[in-house]
Amino acid sequence: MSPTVESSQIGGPDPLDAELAARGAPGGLTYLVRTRAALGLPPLVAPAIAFVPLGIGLGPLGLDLLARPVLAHLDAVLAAALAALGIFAGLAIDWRAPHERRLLAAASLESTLTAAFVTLAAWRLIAAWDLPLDLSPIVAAAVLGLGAAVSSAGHADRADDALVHTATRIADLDDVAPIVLGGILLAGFHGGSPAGAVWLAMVTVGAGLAIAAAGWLLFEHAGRPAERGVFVLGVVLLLGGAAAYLGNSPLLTGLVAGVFWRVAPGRADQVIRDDLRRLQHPLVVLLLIVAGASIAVDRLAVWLLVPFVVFRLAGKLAAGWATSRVAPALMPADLGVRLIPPGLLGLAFVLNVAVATGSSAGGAFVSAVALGTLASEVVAMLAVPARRRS
Amino acid sequence: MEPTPAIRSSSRETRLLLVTLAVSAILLLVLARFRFPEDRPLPASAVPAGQALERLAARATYDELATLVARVDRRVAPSVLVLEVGSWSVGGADAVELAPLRYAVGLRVRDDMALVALAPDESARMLDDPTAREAEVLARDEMRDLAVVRIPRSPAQTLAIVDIRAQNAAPTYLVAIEAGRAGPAARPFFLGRTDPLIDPRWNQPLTALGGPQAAEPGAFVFTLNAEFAGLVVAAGGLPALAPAAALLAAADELAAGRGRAAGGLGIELQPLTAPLARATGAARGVVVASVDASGPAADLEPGDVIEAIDDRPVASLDQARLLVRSLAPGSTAKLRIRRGGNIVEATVTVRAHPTAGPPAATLGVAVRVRRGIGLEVQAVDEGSAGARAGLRPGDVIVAVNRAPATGAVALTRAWSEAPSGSALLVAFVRDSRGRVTALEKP
Repeated sequence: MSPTVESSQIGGPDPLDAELAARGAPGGLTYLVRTRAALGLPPLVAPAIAFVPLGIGLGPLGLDLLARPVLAHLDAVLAAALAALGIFAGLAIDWRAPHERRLLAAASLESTLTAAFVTLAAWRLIAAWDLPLDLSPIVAAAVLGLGAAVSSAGHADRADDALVHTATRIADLDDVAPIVLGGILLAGFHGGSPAGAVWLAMVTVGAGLAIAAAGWLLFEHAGRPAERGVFVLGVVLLLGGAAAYLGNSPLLTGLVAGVFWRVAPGRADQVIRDDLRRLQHPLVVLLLIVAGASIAVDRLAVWLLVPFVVFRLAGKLAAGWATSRVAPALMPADLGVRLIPPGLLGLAFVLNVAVATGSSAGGAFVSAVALGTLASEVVAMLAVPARRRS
Repeated sequence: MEPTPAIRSSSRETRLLLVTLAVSAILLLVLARFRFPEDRPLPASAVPAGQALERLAARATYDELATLVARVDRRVAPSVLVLEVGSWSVGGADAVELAPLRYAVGLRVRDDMALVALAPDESARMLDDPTAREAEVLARDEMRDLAVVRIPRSPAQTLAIVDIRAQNAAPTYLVAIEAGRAGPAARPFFLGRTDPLIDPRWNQPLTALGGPQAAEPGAFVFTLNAEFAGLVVAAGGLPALAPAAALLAAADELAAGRGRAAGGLGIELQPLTAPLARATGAARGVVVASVDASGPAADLEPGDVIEAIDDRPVASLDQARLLVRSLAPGSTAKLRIRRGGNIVEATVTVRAHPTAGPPAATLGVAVRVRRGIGLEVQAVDEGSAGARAGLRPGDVIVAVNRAPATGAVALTRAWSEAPSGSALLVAFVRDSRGRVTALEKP
């Protein structure tokens, strides 16, 4: 198992999928094994395709088992799930290798360009449409832009395909900039003033660092696996709860903590990765089901859906094209195409914004991005050739 | 030589990028030409299954209602403001520092104008205005108790209006924007039916809102989609919704400086009780109690029963008063009168209602001395300072400006010596109960 696959984005490829794919699924099923979904279900191209519709069926539009009060109670669990996703994003960063630093810079450039492209296009449309939003048009557009910026590339099934490995790492690392920018956006929303926003962002980062430091001390001194597991769970809950209390992003506190554990001496990063891996699939399933249940039949969501999918596609292709030209020796020429699959963090970020801002349009944004995620997966199936998809 | 995979993928990617960018640009240009439609209720389905599905899809849970009301509150916030309303200086007198009698919601109809429900004897000022200056009343519609006042300039929002009755929107929830010390507040209320209510002051039917608790008169009403539905007015003592279209038309008239005074006929009316009905032979109408000999209806006599005004049957005292107020001053009105068992038609020229306008220059109170008690009011001229102060025949004035009212001269001298813009404090007894009023001098 390569380090690349091991630290890949949650919801994207995982080790078992890689093994299944390497053994070779027949014909057109090749691309259906990119991720093995949780709960022992057969591998799917992306868990979103299975669990978002399941969430729709269980939510208010379907059986109403996940009614709105239930979803409101799940906000706390959702914060912990988002923090776990942030931790994985942080753990995926390797500061020590110069090559990895260059990849992080390239991934951040790519996701920032995508976010900027989608934000500007969405801003133009939202302003022209005069949407009935309780968020300012630029903030609403930025939510869509950041939700569109992350990717989940396919994994490399051939060890000698270095460029494919690079594309996968770019997809793993392009979460970092949107998470940071999303934290700043939420800090700006709740800060009330530029100084307040800076202060809130600093407090959020500080809280993440403090909790990460406490967790680091606990992990290093835990005697038994069960004890260690309790510490891990408690730290994740703290990271999610602190961010929710501050009205900021649990993804950001998780990212900060993940980076801290990655650079801290000792084995904290390995401990948290091993223990969180057990929670990985349940958290993904929870996130996707909550996203599906949050989908509402809303005219606003319908209006946002097609532009979101098209602008994201164009943004990804343009940003991938630009990034591959910045470092042509390092990047595959078809980087943009490989970054079309959307992954989960975009959806996670929009869910986070909907909960943190309490915006009446939050449901429409979640609906648009969730459905846009499904549509982007379909686009990825069509746009990425099977040979490249592995 | 076979091309390398890198070159092939690069060209394919570039082509895909160009196509996608072109599609995005076209999509952006095309979609930017549209505007997001305002939410409008779907037309009621004629198919029973469709109605059932509509009910299933109805969003009426209280959680959602709270969210929707909050959204309406945010969306209409730029269009509404709260004014303090009092009667401290109507008619141009210097402002007097008094607590407001009530708070009223103003609807911003222009950048610097707001429509507000304001009685003819009321004035308004901005809430928490440190200078406590009155808002300039640009025009009044005294018939409907409306006014357009000048407010601090701010961009007025375009309001989507909806006709609740025409769309047969009930049952539904509406949101009343009410006034309070802290500012405008949104309160949802349920509208079960859209029964029409005819009010002679309005040229369109009002919508009855139910009991007195439904909504507070003076509140502006919006749908859950933030469409402007109208203004709550008192009709027959109960709240009713004046339609938005009529209201905005009235606001346009007022904004153009075309105010409207309430009409008056110079007569006092009283309800037709059963004994009066037997005595007069009338089955419906209102009884003339007194007649101003100098008024437009001087030919009428006490005891006459007015059965119709301008061919509109009169059923109650409230309705008769509304009908008279709705007559335009200067116009003629046709009265159908029952007098001694006969029907008499009379045509009168309407004058302005005496409560309108600035304080009267005349005292207009005739008194006789009741030795050792005070001054008994014998008659009060309509439109006079005495009438504006609420004095009635039978009242006994016991003090004027804290001095015992020992003679008619004391009253008239105090009035003539009072400086312009001041007011005389008058204590009087009515129905064995002491009261106080003020005679305002212009």
